[in-house]
Amino acid sequence: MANAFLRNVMKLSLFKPARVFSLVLAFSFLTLLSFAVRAEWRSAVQLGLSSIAPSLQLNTLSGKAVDISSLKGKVIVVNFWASWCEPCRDEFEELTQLQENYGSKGLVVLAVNLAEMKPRVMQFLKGNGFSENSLEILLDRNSIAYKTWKARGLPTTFLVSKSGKIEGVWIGAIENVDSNEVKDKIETLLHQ
Amino acid sequence: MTTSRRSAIKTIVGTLALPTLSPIASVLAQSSLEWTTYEIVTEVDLESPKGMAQSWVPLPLVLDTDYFRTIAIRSEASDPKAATQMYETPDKQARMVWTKWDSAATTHSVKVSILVSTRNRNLELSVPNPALKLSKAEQRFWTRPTKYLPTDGIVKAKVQEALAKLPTNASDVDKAKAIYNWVVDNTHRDPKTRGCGQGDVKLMLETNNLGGKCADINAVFVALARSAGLPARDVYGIRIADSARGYKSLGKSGDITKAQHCRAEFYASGYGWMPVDPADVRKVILEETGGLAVTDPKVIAIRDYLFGNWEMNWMAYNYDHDIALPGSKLGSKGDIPFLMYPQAENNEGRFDSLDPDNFKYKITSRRIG
Repeated sequence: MANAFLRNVMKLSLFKPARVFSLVLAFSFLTLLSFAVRAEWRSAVQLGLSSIAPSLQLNTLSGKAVDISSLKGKVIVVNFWASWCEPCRDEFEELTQLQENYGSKGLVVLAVNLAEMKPRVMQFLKGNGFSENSLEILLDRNSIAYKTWKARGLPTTFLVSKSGKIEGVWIGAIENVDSNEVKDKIETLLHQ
Repeated sequence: MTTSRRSAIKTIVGTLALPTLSPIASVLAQSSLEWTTYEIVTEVDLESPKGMAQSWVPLPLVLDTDYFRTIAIRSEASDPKAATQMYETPDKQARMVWTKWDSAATTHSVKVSILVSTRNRNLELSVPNPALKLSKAEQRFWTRPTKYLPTDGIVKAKVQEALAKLPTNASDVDKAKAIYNWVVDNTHRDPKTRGCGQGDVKLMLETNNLGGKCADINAVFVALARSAGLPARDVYGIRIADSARGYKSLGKSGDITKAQHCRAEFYASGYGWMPVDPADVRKVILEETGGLAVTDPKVIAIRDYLFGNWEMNWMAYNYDHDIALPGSKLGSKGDIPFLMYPQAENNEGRFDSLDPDNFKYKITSRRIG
C-alpha cells in the first residue's frame, strides 16, 4: 500500500500544481495514519459486553475487602494485569501516574491482579520499585472477576462512570496517560 | 489401537501399605525391551495458616493403552488429619489424588508417587481394520464442542479453508493431515505465553492471534478436526525423559516441575486413535538450537514424524476439558479448562498452578528400567 501511495505521489508531483500536490500529500499521510494500529477506548457494546459494570468484590494485598459498589460517585479505572505480562509492567507506571493526576478529583484506579499469589505480586512491586500503596491492588485469586468482566487478555482496562456505566474499554497497554485519547475521556467523566 | 481394561494398579489412600514400590522387580522381569519404566513423584507443600486446604494432583490415564501403562500409585500425606482419595471425573476421562486438610491440620504436604511404563507409538497406515470404529455415542462425545473449543462459527470457516483443496471423498487421515498442516503453517509458538496456554480457540481465531503454546496450538487442531466431523482430543501430560531422537527441545528429565506438555489425537476409522503433535513442530522451529527455518531438514523430519508417531518420553494424564475440582469451595466458578498441573485452594482462594515456587510443588522423574 505504501508503494502504491508513493507511485501516486510521484505522478501527481509531475503533473499537478504545487498547492494541490500538498493537499493530496497531507490527505494521503492522514489516510496512512488511520491504517496504523491504534489503541483506543472502545465501547462495551462494540465488544459485545454489557454497558453496566459488573460487580467487583476482592481483597487488597493487606486483606481489606473492596467492593466497587461502594465507589459510586467516583470515576473508576478497572485494570486487569499480571506480573508475567510484559506490557502490564510498563503500563503500571502510567496507571500510578493516572492515580496521582486525578485521585484528588474523584478518580480511583483498581489494579486487579489475575490469579497470582501475594508473594509473587510483592516480588513484582519490589523488583520494579513500586510502592504497595501506589495503587489499590486487588487480588483476583480465583479469576472470577476476570471472567465476570470478560476481559480480553492482559492488560485490559475498563473505564467506569460515576453512575456505574462502562464508558470505555482499552485492550492492550495504555502507553501514555497524558495523551488526549486517554485524558479527554477521563476528564469528561470527572466533570459529569 | 484399542484401550485395554483398567490396569490392576496398587492404589493407596492416606498412609497405608506399599512401604516400597515393590511391583517394580516383577514388572521389569516381565516387560519387553520396548517398554521403559519411570517413577514420577509429585510433592505438594502448601502454606495454609488457617488450616483448611485442599489439593488435587493429576494422575495418569484412567485406562491403560498399548503404549502407556500405570503400574502403581501411592500417596502419602504428612498430617494424620489429612484425607486422601483417588477421584475420577464423572465422564471418566481424568483422575486425580484429592487431599483435604481441615482446620486442625498443622502441615499440608502430600507426596504422590507413580510408576508407569511407556513404549514409542509408531502407527502404520497399511491395511485398515474394519473393526476399528467408534460407536455413535463415542463419535458424538469426541466431536463435541467444549467451552473453549467451539466447532461452529469461525472454527467451521477455518476448517473449510483447511480442507478446501481436498476431494469430497477424502479419507479421515487425509483430512487430519490437511488440518495438521494448516495448524503447523498458521500457528506459532509464543515464548511469552504463560505455562502451556489456555486453549481458548475461539479467542485465538477471532483475534487472529494464533500464537501460543501446546495447549493452544493442539487445541486448534482438536477444534478444527471436531468441526470437520473427525473425532479428536487433547491429551494433557508431562515430559518425563530427554528425547532420544536428537531434539533437545522435546524432552526433560529429573526436575520436570515445568515440563507439562499437551499432545493431540484424532480417530481414523480402520486405524483407531492416531497421535499428532503440531505444537511440538512449532517448538522445534522456535527453540531448537537458535531457531530453525520451516524448510530445515530437522523441521521437515519432525513435521513428518509427529503426524502418526509419538516418542513416549512423556506421560499422559488425561483427555478432559472443563473440569470441576471435587470439593472446591468455588463451585462451578472454579472449573478449570484442563488438568495438567497440581491444583490447590485454601480459605484465601485458589493457588496459582503456574507459580510452583509460591504454590510450592515439585515434580521429578527418573527412569527405573
